[in-house]
Amino acid sequence: MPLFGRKSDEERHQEAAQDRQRGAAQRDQLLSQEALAAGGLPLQATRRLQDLAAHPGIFTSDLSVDEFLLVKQAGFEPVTQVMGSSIYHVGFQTRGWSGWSGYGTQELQVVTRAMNHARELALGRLQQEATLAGADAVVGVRMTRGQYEWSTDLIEFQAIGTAVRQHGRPKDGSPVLTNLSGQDFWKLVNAGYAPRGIVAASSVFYVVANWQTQGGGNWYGWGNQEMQNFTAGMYQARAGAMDRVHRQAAASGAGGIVGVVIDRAAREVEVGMGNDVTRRDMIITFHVIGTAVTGRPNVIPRPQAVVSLDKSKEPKNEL
Amino acid sequence: MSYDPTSLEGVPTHGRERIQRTRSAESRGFFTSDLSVNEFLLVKQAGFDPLGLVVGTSIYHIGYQQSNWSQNQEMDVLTQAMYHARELAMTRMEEEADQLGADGVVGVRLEVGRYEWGANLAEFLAIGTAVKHREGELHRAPNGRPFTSDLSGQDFWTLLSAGYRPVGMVMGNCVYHVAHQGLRGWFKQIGQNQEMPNFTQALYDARELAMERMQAEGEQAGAEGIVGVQLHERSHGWGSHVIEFFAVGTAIVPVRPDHEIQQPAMVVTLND
Repeated sequence: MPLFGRKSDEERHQEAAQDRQRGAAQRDQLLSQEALAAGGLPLQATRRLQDLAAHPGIFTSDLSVDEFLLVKQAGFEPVTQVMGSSIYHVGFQTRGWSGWSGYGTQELQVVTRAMNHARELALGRLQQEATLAGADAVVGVRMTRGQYEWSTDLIEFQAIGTAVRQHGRPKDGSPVLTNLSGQDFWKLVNAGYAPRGIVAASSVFYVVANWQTQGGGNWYGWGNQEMQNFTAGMYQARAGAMDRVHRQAAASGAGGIVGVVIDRAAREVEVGMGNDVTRRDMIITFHVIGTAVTGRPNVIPRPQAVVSLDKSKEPKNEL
Repeated sequence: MSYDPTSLEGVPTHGRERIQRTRSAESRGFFTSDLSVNEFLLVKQAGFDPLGLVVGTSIYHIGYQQSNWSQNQEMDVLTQAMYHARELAMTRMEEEADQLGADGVVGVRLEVGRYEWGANLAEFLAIGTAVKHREGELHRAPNGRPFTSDLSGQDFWTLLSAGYRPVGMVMGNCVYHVAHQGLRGWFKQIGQNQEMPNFTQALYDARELAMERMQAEGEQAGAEGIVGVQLHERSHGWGSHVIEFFAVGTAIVPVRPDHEIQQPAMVVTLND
């Protein structure tokens, strides 16, 4: 038993070993953060995937059993689950407007850019992971947008999917991403099409309330009427996002976009105008994601009508 | 916790009586299950009979771990607690299945619940339907335990028809403390659009660790692969900076060399 406050040699050795370990972990964290700052992958992920490429062991995938079998049927083998993520700080965009004139509907470019850049980083990392794993494609990519309690200025974009390799095909180019499920992927490949990559964009618009929309119609009677500038704002946000997606698809040489998922939201903001008068403006967000495809269609067989014993898909675990 | 097929450790009197009753009802061909009608028929078609609902549970006191305010780090004490509690629940469920003479458990659900009366307590629950092969083919996991799988009855049927079988559920977890950012950091980024490499690294590493551990478990089970992986994120009341990442999936092995499935035909379902 050592005296109070004094440590035995063994304890000192242990502590030194722990310190070294902690030091190594912190060094790894710093190196990871540097790699991330350059748009790359953290060490842990790079090591896992390089290991996997060097000594192929078991595959992992978030494909369901049906998807797994259909992807195999389409001529692909699952390699590993891959992901990409980016936590992004959105710059504050000031709107201290209290007057009416001169300000109409306009895009909140800082916020739009933040979302598009964060998504691009997450998808970029997903693709890098798939490249390290030696994959030809990533199927079933799910994008999620998240916010954490600890900061509302931060957004997270996360992409998860299963990297797959095609049987007997030499590697060419970087892996192709698609947000299509295993089932949709099989149908598409069978019909003679090939995915060219994920296309996605967000657009955020600020709509200033005008005499018509302000105050919810209190001054101008109770009649039914369309809120024209809010409608117009939604249209503009949609156009903003779809334009970007069109450009991305055109750049990849695709003939069209399928599997499109649209998510939109409208949020009210109260703006003080002095003298205790407020008006209610609107922030409209529009997200779109899909898969650009190209190809020449085969003959699509006429579907049969059946009664299925399948159940509708629902999450099984709740933790 | 070591596996003992005859163990009733942790099972209260009522539970033992239930197992007794289920076992004697089995001889009359009576069973309980949480399978839907479709699942029931498909499990039967695959050559299995449902025996009874099996449950494993563990109410676990999760210890305390001091985190360094400004440091990204894994909370290994919490990681171990969360893993061990789930393992206890799973093992108990497997032992119950064994006592019913089952080959495996399908449709396993793993749940974590918290109660108002215990701040650091969490209940871990594993529940599923024990099944037995009619022809008595051995379908157990390599370690001698009944196989477990969170696949639905439909998926179970499809997997077996394609020449694979489940060996067991595999899981990995990681409880991670995400560093707080100092005031200086906040001032620097006011009005800036920029990625936060420290936060990205923290969550990335935590997910990566959970997935890697699950993969190692799959390798240990001698599996060919893992399907149906789900990744869950939850902050089990530890405050917002401490998050658990939990990956779970079903490890599968081939039972014959060819896995060709019939060329599927296109259909329109008349279900809804």
